[in-house]
Amino acid sequence: MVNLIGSPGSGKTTLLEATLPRLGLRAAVVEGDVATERDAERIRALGVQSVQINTQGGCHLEAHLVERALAQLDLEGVDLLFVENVGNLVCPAEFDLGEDCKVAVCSVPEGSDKPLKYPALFSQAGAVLLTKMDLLSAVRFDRELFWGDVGRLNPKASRFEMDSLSGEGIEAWCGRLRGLLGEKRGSTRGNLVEGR
Amino acid sequence: MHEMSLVEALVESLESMAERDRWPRVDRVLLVVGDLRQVVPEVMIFCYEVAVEDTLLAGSRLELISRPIRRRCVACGIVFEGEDAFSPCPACGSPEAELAGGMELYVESVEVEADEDDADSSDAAGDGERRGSGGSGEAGPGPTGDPDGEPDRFTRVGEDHPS
Repeated sequence: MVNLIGSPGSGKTTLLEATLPRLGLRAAVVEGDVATERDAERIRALGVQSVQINTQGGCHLEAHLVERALAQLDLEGVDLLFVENVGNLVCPAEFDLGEDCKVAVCSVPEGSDKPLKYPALFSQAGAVLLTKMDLLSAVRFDRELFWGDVGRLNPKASRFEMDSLSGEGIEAWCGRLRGLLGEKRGSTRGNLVEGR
Repeated sequence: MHEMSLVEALVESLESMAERDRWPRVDRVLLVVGDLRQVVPEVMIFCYEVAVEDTLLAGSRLELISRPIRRRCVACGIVFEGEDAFSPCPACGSPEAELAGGMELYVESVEVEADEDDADSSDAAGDGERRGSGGSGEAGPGPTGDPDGEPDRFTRVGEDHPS
């Protein structure tokens, strides 16, 4: 299970829209939002199972909410489960959902100071994704500063840059996800579905 | 805002244990909270006071024990305490270090008052008076007095933790 955490508008759902068709794995998605079914509908439009959790004001997902959502999915044969957390860089970092990996998603227009301002998330993340790379020439963003801060905070996190709309950089990220699944299957016995 | 969520989950777990093991009364809950947990202690304790009202934990106190942010230098491997999540390695000066502590969140212990003589009383809840404390829910030290002394009963719950 991969727990995607980022600000509202950082491109988490668009990232999934770019990732799911290229991944080559059977995936399911739990979507977390304060309101609306929109994100789950966007995922279902790709032919991928998705359940929407509406937190009714809650600023993060909690494990029991995810557990309840999982009951609505057919997990038989699912290789990888994504949880898209409520858009927020603070509270979701606090709550363990049972994920194998937290992934910090930050977009270029948010500014290069985000790792410094939200160290709890960026210190714990197994991967840091910088999205909307196509906007690099349009906004002021110090790429060296951003990755430098990520490196100081969390030198072992995998780092990816991508433009989800064009698909640039998505393959490297998909490769890391397949690797994560391989590591998981290598270290766990039984009940594992063969990858395609 | 998330202090309330954390407290609600804590109270729920403790209540189910109190029910299962028939704890007559809970005096004190010690909770370890790492410094990188974005928890404001005063808010957490206030939330606890509100959350335990009308529960089996009513009248109990929550105390927080902090744990420093610790980082492991990727260059020389030592583990050091950092003032913040960015402190460089004090031994070799390398700025790159991974998180090694500061995200702890677990119940260190729960102090439960031993039941004395009304084990079969069905309506005793709420009648209990705090010994030597004038009945106030927020009296200083609990019945065991010295916080470092041995409480009446010392129950260890929650997940295991390093050191």
